[in-house]
Amino acid sequence: MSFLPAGSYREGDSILHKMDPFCKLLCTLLFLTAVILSDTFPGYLLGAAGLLAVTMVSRLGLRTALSGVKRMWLFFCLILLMNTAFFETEQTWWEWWIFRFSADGLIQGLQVVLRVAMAMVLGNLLLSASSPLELVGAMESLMYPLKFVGVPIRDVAMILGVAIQFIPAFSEEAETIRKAQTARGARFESRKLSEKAGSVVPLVVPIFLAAFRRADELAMAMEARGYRRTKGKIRKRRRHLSPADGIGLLLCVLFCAAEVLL
Amino acid sequence: MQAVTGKQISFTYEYDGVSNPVLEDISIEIEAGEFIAILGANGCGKSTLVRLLNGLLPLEKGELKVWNLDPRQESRLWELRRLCGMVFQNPDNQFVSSIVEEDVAFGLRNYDTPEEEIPERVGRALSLVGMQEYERYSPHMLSGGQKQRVAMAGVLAMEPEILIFDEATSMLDPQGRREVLACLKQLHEMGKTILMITHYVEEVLDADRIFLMQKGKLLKSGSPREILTDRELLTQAELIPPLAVRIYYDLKDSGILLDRCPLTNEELVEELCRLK
Amino acid sequence: MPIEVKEVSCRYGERTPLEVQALKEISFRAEDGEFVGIMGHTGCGKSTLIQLIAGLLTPGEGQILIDGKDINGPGYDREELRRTLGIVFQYPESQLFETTVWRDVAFALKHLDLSREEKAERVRWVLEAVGFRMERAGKSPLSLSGGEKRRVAIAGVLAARPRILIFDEPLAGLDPWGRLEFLELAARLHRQGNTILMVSHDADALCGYADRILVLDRGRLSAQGTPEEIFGDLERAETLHIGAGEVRRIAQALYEKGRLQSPAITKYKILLGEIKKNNKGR
Repeated sequence: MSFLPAGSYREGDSILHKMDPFCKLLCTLLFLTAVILSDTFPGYLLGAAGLLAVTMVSRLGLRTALSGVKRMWLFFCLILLMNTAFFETEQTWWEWWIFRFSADGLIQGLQVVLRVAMAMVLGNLLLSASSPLELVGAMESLMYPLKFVGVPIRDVAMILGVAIQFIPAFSEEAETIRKAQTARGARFESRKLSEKAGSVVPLVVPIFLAAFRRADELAMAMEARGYRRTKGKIRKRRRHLSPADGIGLLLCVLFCAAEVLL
Repeated sequence: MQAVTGKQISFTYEYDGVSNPVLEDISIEIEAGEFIAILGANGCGKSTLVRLLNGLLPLEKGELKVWNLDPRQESRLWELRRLCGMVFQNPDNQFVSSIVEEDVAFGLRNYDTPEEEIPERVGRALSLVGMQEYERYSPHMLSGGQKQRVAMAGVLAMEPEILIFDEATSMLDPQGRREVLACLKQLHEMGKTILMITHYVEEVLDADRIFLMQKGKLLKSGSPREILTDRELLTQAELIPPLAVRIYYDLKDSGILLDRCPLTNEELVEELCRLK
Repeated sequence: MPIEVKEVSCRYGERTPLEVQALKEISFRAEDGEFVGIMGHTGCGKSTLIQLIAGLLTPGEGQILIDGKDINGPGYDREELRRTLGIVFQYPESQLFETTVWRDVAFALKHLDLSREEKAERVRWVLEAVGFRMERAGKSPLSLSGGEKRRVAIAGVLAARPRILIFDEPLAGLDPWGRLEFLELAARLHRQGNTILMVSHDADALCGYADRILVLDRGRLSAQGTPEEIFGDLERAETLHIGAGEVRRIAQALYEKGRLQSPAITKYKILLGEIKKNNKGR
């Protein structure tokens, strides 16, 4: 019954949902590179427009795309403040002790915030439109070369997949524990820092224990179903590349190039 | 054919440097195709017993053969686990994927089943438990009973001979319990050997035999009628008899004697109607 | 302190495509010292309802009054709610966190204005009340068996002596003796004058102990009444998506055979008494 957290998979049959996962992951990485590389305002505009377009194609809605971004406000404020106060520039508004407040710093901060926000939206879209198992498979393919330097990629991919699938049940349990402790008098809402810090233990300990218990039970269930660590071959997937995959990939490459040029 | 033969199985569990006997000198024999219920209060060792069967826990003392395989023989452990599937208690803690069909295929992929056979076997397993329409669902969107049925499908896809239900109904609502029990019954009719662990006496009425356990010991094995109509035996095992049996004894205590001890509610009504 | 729930509605995920109406215009009253059972099909909103009453969720619309005060109103002292109301969630053993049983139980007393001796007295009292052996109070909660963990977790809520107690599926996962012991504990707390709200799927358990049963169906309060009223008509119970207990079903079968005057029996003792009465001297 709990509300889905940001970045959880939502079923759908949009082009984005149907894209080949490996291709989708590759596109996301390209797009991400583009977003990180862009440092001019036309570049950001193009990035934002691109994201908006992907959001529309995904039919997930702007709310899903932006979920989680709002919760980062404190972090964003911090980035803004740090940049404004510490940016190395000649023209400052106001200097005090080691702080040098400047307009350039503010702009720099805004850019960082924008990039992080765009990266988050991109991540949201990818996670919301791909089933975790698809993603795990895609990551497995992407990490394939690492196999030759001895990284047990099948295990790594498995762990990632299981971790993702645990999120809904686990967040529900964590929420129940929070409520149970609140009802027993833990003061999470308290304004006093000492009380707030003290209230973390009754929350963190049971949540950790719950996570261990779940992991333990799951490990046993997996073993019972014949899971062998580091044995078993890597899943070979035949890729069914659709025109949409090709176009998507091409668009992302162009996008990346455009951002570099702008 | 014998599905399981166990002789003098013992198991100790260490905690805080103290060793606690969990199983003491248990001997069991199960025929292929039998429906066995293992009944006992919490902590009587019933889960430990079945975990020895598929090698999830190491056998320390005693002899054990499961479908002619010895769980101690490590090279054949994987074969054993395929033959002897297990459904666990918590429906949320046995999924590896957030898509039903991928999860059902998990076991098949562990056994290197050719990729082109997988969809068909997954589909067949899901239809055995009546979940064929949920292939693309995410397990956490399903009800408890549905989750357990998907877990059953995950086991069935590997075409096991023995199915173990380790308190698989204890976290479900009445509806979910009915669903799982109906599936279980159907699998038994198909000829699978079933081992069901539970502490609900109402669930074991259909079993061929009951193993009654208490504090690590096999108190008695016998038909549901033998075990469940024995009030003293059940009390000794820290269990409560079925309602019909309780009524029989309570009437007997106040001087009203029925011809025989009923097991089910229908039998109770029948017996009461015979009183003239 | 009666509990009054007035026209309460609650939604999840508002203004998203996943919006769920969890509760719709629920109104009821639970009197002081009443034992109220809550039944309904999984996902009917039972958990939401009890969390609203415990002040852990806020209703979209409507009011919840405890002792005449709106618990979501401005200026309401939440600490007072915490003192008067205790809630035991499903599988409460997952909330245990302290290094010893004693400390975990005492956690609920942290913010109460009690002396050291009074606190110690409370812990002793509550561990005895739930049937936990005092000499084991120095153990780590993690080393206990499942049944013992459950008792300690319940003790951790009862320690603050809340007058209203809410139990969400307290029987889940317990073996027959554990269930019986819990029900006896609930009955004892009820006799001591506590108000009890208990969510359960177990019709026999609720019918045996509750004064009144509320039935929720897809977010609505679809029926309320004594166990006999709720299960008096089996067909109606079926339409409410709740299953009758075994006692009621045996009574029905006996009634149909002309062996009982009325089928509306939901308590074991009454059923047994009626059977005895009808067969006296035979």
